[in-house]
Amino acid sequence: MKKMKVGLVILFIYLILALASFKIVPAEDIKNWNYKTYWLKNPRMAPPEWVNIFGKNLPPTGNLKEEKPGEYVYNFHYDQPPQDILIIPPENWSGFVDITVLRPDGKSITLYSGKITGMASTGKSFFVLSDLARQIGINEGISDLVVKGEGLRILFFRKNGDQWIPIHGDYTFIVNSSSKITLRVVGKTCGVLGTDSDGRDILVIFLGGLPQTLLIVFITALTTVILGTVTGLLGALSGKLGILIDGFAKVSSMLPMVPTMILLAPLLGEINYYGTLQIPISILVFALSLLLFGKVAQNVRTITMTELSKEHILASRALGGSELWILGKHVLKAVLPYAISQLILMAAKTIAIISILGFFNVYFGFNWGELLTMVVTQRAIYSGAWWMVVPVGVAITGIAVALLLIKSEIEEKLINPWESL
Amino acid sequence: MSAKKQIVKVITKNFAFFMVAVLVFLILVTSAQWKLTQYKIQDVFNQNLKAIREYREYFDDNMKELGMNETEYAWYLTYKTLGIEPTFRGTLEHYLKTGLFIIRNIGSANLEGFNHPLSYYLKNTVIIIILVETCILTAGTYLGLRAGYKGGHLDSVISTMAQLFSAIPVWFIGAVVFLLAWRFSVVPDFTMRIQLASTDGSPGLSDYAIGFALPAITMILSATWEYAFTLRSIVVSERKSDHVTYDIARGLPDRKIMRKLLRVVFPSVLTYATYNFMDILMSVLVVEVVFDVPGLGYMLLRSFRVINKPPEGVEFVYYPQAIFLVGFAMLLIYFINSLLTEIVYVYLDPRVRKQ
Repeated sequence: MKKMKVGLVILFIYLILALASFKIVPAEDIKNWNYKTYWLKNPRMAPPEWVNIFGKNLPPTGNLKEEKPGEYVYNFHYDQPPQDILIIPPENWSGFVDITVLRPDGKSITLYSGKITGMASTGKSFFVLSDLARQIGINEGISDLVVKGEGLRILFFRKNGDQWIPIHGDYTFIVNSSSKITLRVVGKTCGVLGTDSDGRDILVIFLGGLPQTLLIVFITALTTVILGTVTGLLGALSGKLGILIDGFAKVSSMLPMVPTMILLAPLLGEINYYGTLQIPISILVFALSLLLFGKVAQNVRTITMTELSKEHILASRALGGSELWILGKHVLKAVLPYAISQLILMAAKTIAIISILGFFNVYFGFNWGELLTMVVTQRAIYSGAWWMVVPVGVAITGIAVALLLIKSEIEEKLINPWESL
Repeated sequence: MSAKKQIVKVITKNFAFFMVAVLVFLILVTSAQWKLTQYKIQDVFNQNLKAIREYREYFDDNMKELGMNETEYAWYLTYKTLGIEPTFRGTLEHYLKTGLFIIRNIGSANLEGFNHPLSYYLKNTVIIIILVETCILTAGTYLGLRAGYKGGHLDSVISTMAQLFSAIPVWFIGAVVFLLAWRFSVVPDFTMRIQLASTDGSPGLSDYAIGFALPAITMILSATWEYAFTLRSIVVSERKSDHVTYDIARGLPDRKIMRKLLRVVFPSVLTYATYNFMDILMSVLVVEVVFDVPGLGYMLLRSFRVINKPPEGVEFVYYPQAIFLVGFAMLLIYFINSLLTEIVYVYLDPRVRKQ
């Protein structure tokens, strides 16, 4: 029972995480997942903040706290400058904003002075950075810094010959504006799971996509096994139907899964608001089940036929037992343990298929398939963006391990009980 | 039934299933083309309607002559531009045209949307499959046979690894292998070698060996354990049989007994290998995407894409010929593999002939 318990505990943890995701992940983030402007406040392709525990010293991302009215303090103690400092006004507000920075070395520098009508960038604005460089007395290399996304090096570092030396300590930002302004430091790390090339928080798709992923996995497994068991049983009872089901099962198991699913995307999907082709989950589940049920049906048919040829069944028939009664009383006892074991195996298989379909750009909703699509389209592996690959890979492995542990226990107890003796 | 008759029956049955599967796949390919054409029809119609409304004076005479209103005339222009008849027959013709185009150009050197002919991509995939299958079968047979016959530490290692690696998705193993190789420069200039292998020149054996080393390592890591474990389980059950006990009792050396065991369990192992071949083929395609190898996986990835182009809408990139060829190649490899196995079975297992 140990394997079963471990497996169930792991699955329970995933279930709790799925339920918790509704509380943890802001609904607004999921709603705006494909709306690129929404994610401009985050750094692009940034690793998670906890990389700093393992020897890195990169600035994290976050809003600055207002220590006194109009005064924000940023403790800079990192090896690299933040990518940007965003000035975020309240919605539908426009007006003059004046920001002065008091550096730890005592210099007072004007970071921004002018009218803003929406979120304004300082670290990516050539105009702002040129003005900063002029105040500090740096004359060359600004364009290079802007191109590299290192513009704020001018503010947080000092130049000593050819070398840039960080100025560590508290930076005080004094904001003069008629409305409350938010200052956001766009660092080089972000959140618990990092970001993608559009600045989207990976935690949102990882946790927010978990409920749908689990739903697809278990419903597909259930539909496949029910379809396979019913057709397998019917196929064993009737000769002609049996041949037909056998043929259909053989052809469906021959059809290459991924190319077929790629073709089903335009056939069954519709273009959504964000310009992506999306297959409704119910249709996806049914299509996957049709492609997967073949082997289950064939095996159930074989088990049923073996059972039907046994002597006690022949005796039941001779005594007048109907086919349905025999199926329910004798055959199901042999088929059910197999079906349960297949249910678990199919769930493990489906989660692998979801990730593979994602790899080949088959989009079917907000789940881990989408995360895998991002990995391929953004070439995350080649960019060294391990934070987009490792968490989802480990999580899929975790589910599969749990399912296989449960399957192994079921097989030992129900299918081959003599093996465990 | 004689072996010859049995083989003819096996070939006929498998060929019939293969043809049905190819036909079903071709219908899917052409249906997808038709669905995308429908999106295009709608797009062209919208553009035509907009143009008619904006420049009504240019179209007025023609519309009056045809007795059509704006909408009807926009539809008329749409079907005329695209050369499609808005009838059931027209749809059927479109299906047939796509199907014929695909079949007629199977061997063509100019594969629509790709720089190389099919043979080029197929060659890379086949090389990886051969490399992988050879390694899996050799290493797996050795490990499985030894673990099944002798048990001990190796047996528990194989059992654990099989459970673990059957749970890890192959793309994840590939990504980890890639990231580690990149981080520690395990294989020197491997990405360059892959690129070299993908160029038009004639890469040598060493280029392929080095270029495809990481994809092959990934596949071997992923698939060997399960194969070895299956073989081990079959050997464990066979080891309990009387003939093995007799061989041990009369003091035959282990190597000889293991060789005998391998012969006995071979048909079961063959069945397993065939059963899992499609999974291995699919995994190879995924690994190709991870390592950017220009094989069938690369073709598949690029054969269908939806490009979001706001505000106009979306644009579809669909190469029916490429996707059909990938599917056809997979079906063909499966067909040949399954046919060969069943034929070998007829000779190896006399019980099959008796049936």
